Amino acid sequence: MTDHQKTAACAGVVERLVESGGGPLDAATEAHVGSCMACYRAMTELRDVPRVADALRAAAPDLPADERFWAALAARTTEAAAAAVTVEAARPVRSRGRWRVRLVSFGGLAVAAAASWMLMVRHPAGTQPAATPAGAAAIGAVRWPGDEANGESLSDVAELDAAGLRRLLDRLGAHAPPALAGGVADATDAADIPSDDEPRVSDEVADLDGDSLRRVATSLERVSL
Amino acid sequence: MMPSHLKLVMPVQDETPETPDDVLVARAQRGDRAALGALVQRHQRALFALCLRYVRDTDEAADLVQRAFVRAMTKLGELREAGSFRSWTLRIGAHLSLNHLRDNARFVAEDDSAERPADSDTAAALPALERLELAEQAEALRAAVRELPTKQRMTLELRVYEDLSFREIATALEISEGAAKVNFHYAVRKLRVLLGPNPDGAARRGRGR
Repeated sequence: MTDHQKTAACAGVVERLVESGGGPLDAATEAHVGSCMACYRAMTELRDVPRVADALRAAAPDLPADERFWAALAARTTEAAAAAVTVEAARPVRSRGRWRVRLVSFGGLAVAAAASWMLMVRHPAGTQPAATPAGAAAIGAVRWPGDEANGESLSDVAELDAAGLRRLLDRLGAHAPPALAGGVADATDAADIPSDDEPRVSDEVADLDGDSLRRVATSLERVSL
Repeated sequence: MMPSHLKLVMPVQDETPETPDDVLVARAQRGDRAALGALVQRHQRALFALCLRYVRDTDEAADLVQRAFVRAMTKLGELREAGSFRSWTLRIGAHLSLNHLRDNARFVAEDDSAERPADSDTAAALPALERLELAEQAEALRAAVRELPTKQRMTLELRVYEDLSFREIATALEISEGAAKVNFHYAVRKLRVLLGPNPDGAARRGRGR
C-alpha cells in the first residue's frame, strides 16, 4: 500500500471512527486500526467522546426555568420575525418605488444639466449675468425663444407656492453640478424617499415631457425665492 | 390583488408538534403567523442555549435569538432545504453571537454568574474542594471551547448539544460531511487533554483489543 493509498484509507477509517462515536467497529476498520498507529491513536481519542460530551453538557449554563421568560421571548421574537416577513414581502414594491425615485432624480439632473448648458451657450465667458446667490437664480437666467407663446404652461408652474418650488429646487440641486447647486438646500438620502403625506413635486416633474421641463426651468426665474 | 402585508391575517391551519419544519417554514414564508410562532416555540430554547454559551448573558442571548429569527425569516429564500431550518437557524445564531462578541469584545462579562454546572444539585452535595475543582475544570473546558476554530466549535456544539447528525451539520455549515467529522475529531482531541486520563480507558482497552 502506497503512502497516498494509506492516507486515503486512514481518512475513511477516521470518518468511520467518528461516526461510531466510540462504539463497536466493523471488521475491516478493526483490522486497519490494529495495523495503523495513527488510526489507533484516533480511535483512542474518539473513545473519549462520551466523556467530553458529558463534561461539556455539565459545563453548559443553566437555562431560565421560568416559563414566562420563554413565553415572553417567543412573543417578542414572533412579533419581530412577522414584521420582517411583512417588510420582506413588501420589498419588491419598495424597490419599484426606489427605481422610480431614481428616474425622477435622473430627470432632475437632466433639467439641471440642460439649464447649465443653455446658460453657457447664451452667455459666453465675459458676458455672464450678474452673479446670483442661488442655483435657482442661475437657472432663472436661461431664456428660450418662444417662452411667451407658452404662457399657459408657464403660469401652471408659476402657480406653485414657494414651498413647492423650494422642494423642486432641492430635487434639482441635489443632483446638479456643485456650481449650479450652490445655495440650494442640502440634499439628504431621506429626501429620496418622500413621506406619504408630502406632496411629490418631483413626481409631477417626472411626468413632464422635454419641452415642459424646459418651461419649468424658465419659469423659475420669474419666482422670487 | 391582496396586498402582501394582509396575508398575515389570513386564517391559519393548526400546528401540531408533529407538523414538520418544512411545512411550517413554507407557511411562515407566506405570512402565516401561527406557523411562524410554532417555529419560534420549537427552536427558541436550543437557539437561546447556543447564544448563551457564546455571550454568557441572558439578556444578550435573548436579543440574539430574536435577531437570529428575524434574519432567518428575511433570508428564507437562501435556505436550500426547508427541513434543515433548525440547523440553519442555529448557524445564524452562532454567527450573530460571534459577531456580537467581536463587536463588544471589551464589554463581555468576565464573571460567569450565568454559568453554573447544569447538575447543580449534585455539585452542591460534593465537598467544597471537589466543587471547586469541578468549577475550575468546567471553566477550563469552556475556555478551551472558546479557543477552538469557529468551524470546529460549531461542529462540536451542534453535535454535542443539538445532537445533529454529521450530515445535518455539514449542511448547516456548508462543508462536506467528511470535513464535519474531521472538525469534530480535532475538537475532541483538544478538549480531552483538559480532562486528563480516562479512568475507564485501561479497562476499555483490555476489553476492546
